[in-house]
Amino acid sequence: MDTTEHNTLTALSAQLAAAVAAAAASIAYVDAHPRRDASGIAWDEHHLVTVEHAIEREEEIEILLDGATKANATLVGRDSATDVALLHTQATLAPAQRADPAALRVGTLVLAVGRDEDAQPAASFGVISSLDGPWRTWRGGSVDRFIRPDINLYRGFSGGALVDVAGAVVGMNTWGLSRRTALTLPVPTLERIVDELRAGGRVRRGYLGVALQSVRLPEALRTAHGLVQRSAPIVVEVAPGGPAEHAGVTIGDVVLTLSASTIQDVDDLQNALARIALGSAQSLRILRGGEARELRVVVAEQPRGACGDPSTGNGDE
Amino acid sequence: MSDVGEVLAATASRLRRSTVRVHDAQGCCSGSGVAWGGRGDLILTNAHVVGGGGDAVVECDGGRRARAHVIARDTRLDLAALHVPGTTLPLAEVRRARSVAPGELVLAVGNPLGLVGALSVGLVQRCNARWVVADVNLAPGNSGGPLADAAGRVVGINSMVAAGLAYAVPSAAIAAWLERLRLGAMRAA
Repeated sequence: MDTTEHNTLTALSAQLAAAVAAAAASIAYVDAHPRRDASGIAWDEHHLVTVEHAIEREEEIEILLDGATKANATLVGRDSATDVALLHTQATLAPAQRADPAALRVGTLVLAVGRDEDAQPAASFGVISSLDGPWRTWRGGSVDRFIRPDINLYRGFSGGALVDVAGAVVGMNTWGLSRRTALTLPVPTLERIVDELRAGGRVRRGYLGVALQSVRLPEALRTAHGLVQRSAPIVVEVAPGGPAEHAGVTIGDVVLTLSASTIQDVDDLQNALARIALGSAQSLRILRGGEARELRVVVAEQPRGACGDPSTGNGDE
Repeated sequence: MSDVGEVLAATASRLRRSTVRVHDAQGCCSGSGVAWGGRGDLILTNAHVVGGGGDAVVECDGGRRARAHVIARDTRLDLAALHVPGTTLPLAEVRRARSVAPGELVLAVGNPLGLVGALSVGLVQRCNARWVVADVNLAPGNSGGPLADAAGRVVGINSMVAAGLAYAVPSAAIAAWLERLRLGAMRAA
């Protein structure tokens, strides 16, 4: 080894390999699905986060850790809206180092680290390709920041970590949130979801039981009712027995405000619902046949299996 | 040299001098090869690059062509050894692949898609006794060419691409194969 030439390239190579080794100590192979291999990130001494789409069995989940240690894990909770699942194991894990989220830039060098079915660490290399503000997944989960790495995420890398060149975790990689590209769920989002899953096994979301489509509001209508928004969502479907039906909402109603929030599109309604206590009665202002009306709606918890409500008809796969 | 880009270019250029383009006797099935031993006249490549015939043609960095004899071929390991009489290429420095770690940078030099001496850079995804698996973009024509570490030492010979990953025969496996050939030749003598 003494004959090795030392230069900036060999130094970079050594640093990348060291980052992979450091991160891999906290990365497990997760076997909870007959066809979908996944990785998981040790979140604390006995909990792992992984991708929800790779969980079929809720018990007798096998995990492989550093040094080919085999352990069993059980599902604590799952949230399909953000594609996050939380597992518990009796084995002692090495919790992952978290990166400073503020240090991330477009062009930052990053590594994707996973573990394969032979318990070997596996890595790929790239850069942060795109960063943006908060966004909502197609299933209605809210994510604090949009992170798209330009990196090859191979089979089994979903649920693994995106790490910086020091091996600190930037987020969890998944193929489950976009059909076109791999994305990374940032650490603050994972922390929030993990807290909710530990508390109740699921993330509770407000639900009205309507499907919506945004429409432009004619100028005359806006003037007549003193509306500030240029568009608003129109109800295209009402779930039988849901909160909206109980409140008297019908197809064709245009939603203007919920509680005190002005509603311009489906995202606005999602955000308003996120701020409302489940089970509370709220005012829902609508337009029906050109007339403004005020209804009282009791916001319920989104039932399991209901997808992205209120949605524009995005079906579950 | 302190700039990473400059070092990369210098390392690639050194590697390129030990890399050849390989055609089979009919002049088709172009791949790559690397000067591995002898006086720079022993070239290693993939078995699938030279086909079943006894002869091949190598084209060195700079374009000089020479006739080569296939002296050993193993389709299971996908390795072939060529002898190029009268040629003295600079030997590639070789590193045993068993010590390669996931995350290390790797360079591949070869002749993908008809390009000559093209460089690809990536990193080791994982490795075992059979393969060094690398996250690096390769194409047909890289077959038989070197996969080297950041210091330019050859860690394997690129053999195939599967699911977007490059699979290289580790240097340790190549060394063991050459050793078996040498012992075999001694016994036959």
